[in-house]
Amino acid sequence: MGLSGIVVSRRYGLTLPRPPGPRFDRQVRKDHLDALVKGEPQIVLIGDSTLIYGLDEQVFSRLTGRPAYSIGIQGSASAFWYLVLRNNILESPYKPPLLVIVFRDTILTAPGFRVQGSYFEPLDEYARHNEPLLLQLAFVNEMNPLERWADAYLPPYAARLDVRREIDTQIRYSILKWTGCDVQCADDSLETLYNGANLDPDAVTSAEEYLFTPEQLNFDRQVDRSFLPEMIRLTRENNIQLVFVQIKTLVRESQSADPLALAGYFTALRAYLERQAIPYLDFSSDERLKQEYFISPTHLSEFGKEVFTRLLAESIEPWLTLPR
Amino acid sequence: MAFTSYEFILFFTVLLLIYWLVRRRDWQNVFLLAASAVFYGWLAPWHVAILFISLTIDYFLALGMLRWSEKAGSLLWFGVAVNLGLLGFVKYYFFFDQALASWSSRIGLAGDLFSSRIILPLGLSFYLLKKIGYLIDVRRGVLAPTRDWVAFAAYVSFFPQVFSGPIDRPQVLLKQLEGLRAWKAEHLVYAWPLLVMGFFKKIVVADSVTVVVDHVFAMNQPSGFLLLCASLGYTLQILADFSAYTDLARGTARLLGLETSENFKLPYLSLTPTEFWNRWHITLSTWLRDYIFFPVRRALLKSHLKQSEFLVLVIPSILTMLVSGLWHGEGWTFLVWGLYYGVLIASYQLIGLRGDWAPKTKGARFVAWLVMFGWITLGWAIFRAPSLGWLGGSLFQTPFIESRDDWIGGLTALSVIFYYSLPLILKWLIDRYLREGWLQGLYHALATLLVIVYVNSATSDFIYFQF
Repeated sequence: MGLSGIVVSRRYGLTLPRPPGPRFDRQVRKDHLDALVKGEPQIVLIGDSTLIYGLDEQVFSRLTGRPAYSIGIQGSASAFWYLVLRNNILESPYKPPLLVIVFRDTILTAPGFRVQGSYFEPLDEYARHNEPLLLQLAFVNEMNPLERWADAYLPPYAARLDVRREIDTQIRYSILKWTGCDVQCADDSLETLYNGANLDPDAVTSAEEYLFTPEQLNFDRQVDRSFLPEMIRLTRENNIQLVFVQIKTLVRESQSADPLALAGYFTALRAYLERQAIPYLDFSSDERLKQEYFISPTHLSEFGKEVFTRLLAESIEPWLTLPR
Repeated sequence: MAFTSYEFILFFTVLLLIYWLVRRRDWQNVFLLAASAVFYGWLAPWHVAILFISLTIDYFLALGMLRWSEKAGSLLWFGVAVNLGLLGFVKYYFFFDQALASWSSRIGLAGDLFSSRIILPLGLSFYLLKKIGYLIDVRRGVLAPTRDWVAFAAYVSFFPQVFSGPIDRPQVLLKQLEGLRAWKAEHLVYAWPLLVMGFFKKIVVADSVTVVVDHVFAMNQPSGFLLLCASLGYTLQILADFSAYTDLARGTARLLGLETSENFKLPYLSLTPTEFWNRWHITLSTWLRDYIFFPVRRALLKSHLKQSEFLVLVIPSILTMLVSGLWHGEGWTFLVWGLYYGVLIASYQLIGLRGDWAPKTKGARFVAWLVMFGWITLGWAIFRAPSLGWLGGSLFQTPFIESRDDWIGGLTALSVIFYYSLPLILKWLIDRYLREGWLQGLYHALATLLVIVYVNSATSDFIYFQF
């Protein structure tokens, strides 16, 4: 163990003890910042793949009469959205007057959702080298005391993400190399093969169970551990009108979560946003978004996209106070 | 509470200290029982009530058999009926679920009042087999019923085994619980490799291969090639996962001074289906053999059917494996999986290839092994498939390789399976040829290191494998 500690520490440049949590590189992805400067959209929307499948940016712009820019990041969750807000939107010399965050289920107050494993690398792309709040909320708060100790003092554990990434890369692509298929070719094929529409809906919903655990359904416990208060503070300080939109999915129906706890969560979320004077548009049980409009438990079909885009454009009208 | 969780490490450390500090056998059992109640009731405390009520019924039924020997048969049947009734209700709960929902909504209650709140008791099928075996052995007179309720309850609810076995016989575990236990350094020496291998197989091997396997079995209709790759992956995953659980259970039991049974003896090296079941989930196989296969066979030999060697060979195997299928899970896939093994065992036996059969030449042995490994892999495909229709569609209605993406996806899966099976093959070689050498220590050190690297470095959320 001692020998491995020395080898790992030298290879990954670890100095121990170190503060718990992963390290972010110095690069920050700024493509959305550039797009904001170039397009000067009046409405910016952020969300995960449900936004990609649910909203037609062109049609939405036409219906609202305002240029809109949609930042849909596949597989993203609240930690990503916080980073995009902080490191792209607020860094931009042009700041949009209206920011719409499209979320589903309890993602808004689940800071540790989709930040580990294969999600870490894309998350790191949006993170600065120094992200104390991200570290605390998405990583350190999710660790138990033993993990914190190991992260600070045990080199193999501290370097586990880097080591694991190297091993995974070796294993996943080594045989493919002989066939002339490089990493990009392999990733493209796997993406095509395992995209959401090609998966069994039950499997998709079971992967979402984390969002419906008793801890995640306890809004009062989660809210101060989430990025929500900071997102509200940042937008308020920068005179950006924030709107939260809960999109409909079919995930919730198949979860074994206690319906009372689920209802309690959304009542508490609504009350919290009301106290903060933040508009909250809830489409989660909107009958106009019928079951047949979904191609998977979380994704709308082309027709469903058309319907949701229209519904959102109509509902957001009261907050479009800017001149056309 | 999972063996690999932080809560379990805390829980077990505290228990271990108290357990060995009290020294007295009766108090050790009391603490063991309390610990089992906490462990078992961690998610749903009312599950403990079912466990303790049902085991108390069996405890008194066994004593009743001793006292009223003329009614022992009736008491046994009552006990078996209660246990099987409970098992049947839990396994087939979803059939009742909808009726319950419609009944509750008819009388004005929320339709999901029950279904949303009832979490089905885990491990029930394991501890029920322990209890039924105990009742049968008492009835047969091969075991004296215990008068020590605490020891009996600790035996049935023994936390390292309560969720996934091994299904130890009372002659093995209850006997030890009724005896004295003292701390010895050899407990740790024996337990440590089991714990390391348990964590290694679960965290490093099984959890890594699961990602690939789950992807394919989550597809609407994978090609035959992808199904083949995923079935091979599942063959590795289920062995690594299940044997890891057994290793952890045996390791923790040994730290408590208790020796429990081995459950896996290199099952994938088997040459016949009978041999496979002698090596796979051994405590379940022996339970099924002793309480179903042999009694059915004996009954047939006593009946007028004894003239037909064919029926005497075929019926016990098929019936036993059908029960095994039903025990493993609800739904047609499990039933067909049981039937599949029943037919396979009977077929091998009919052509004279019994459990101890082995060809003389290495080449023939290899062919026999390859054929059996193919049967095992197909068996796991049936077991893991979401439905028979899904499996049939992939096997017969889609091309073997549909597109280049299939080819690449399959090769990626094979690569993952190959690399993660290597450490297990290496361990087998070390155990076989260099058991006492320094390599064993080095292997365990490297396995520990990999466990530290792999723990918490991946997400079980597998949907966006490729982000």
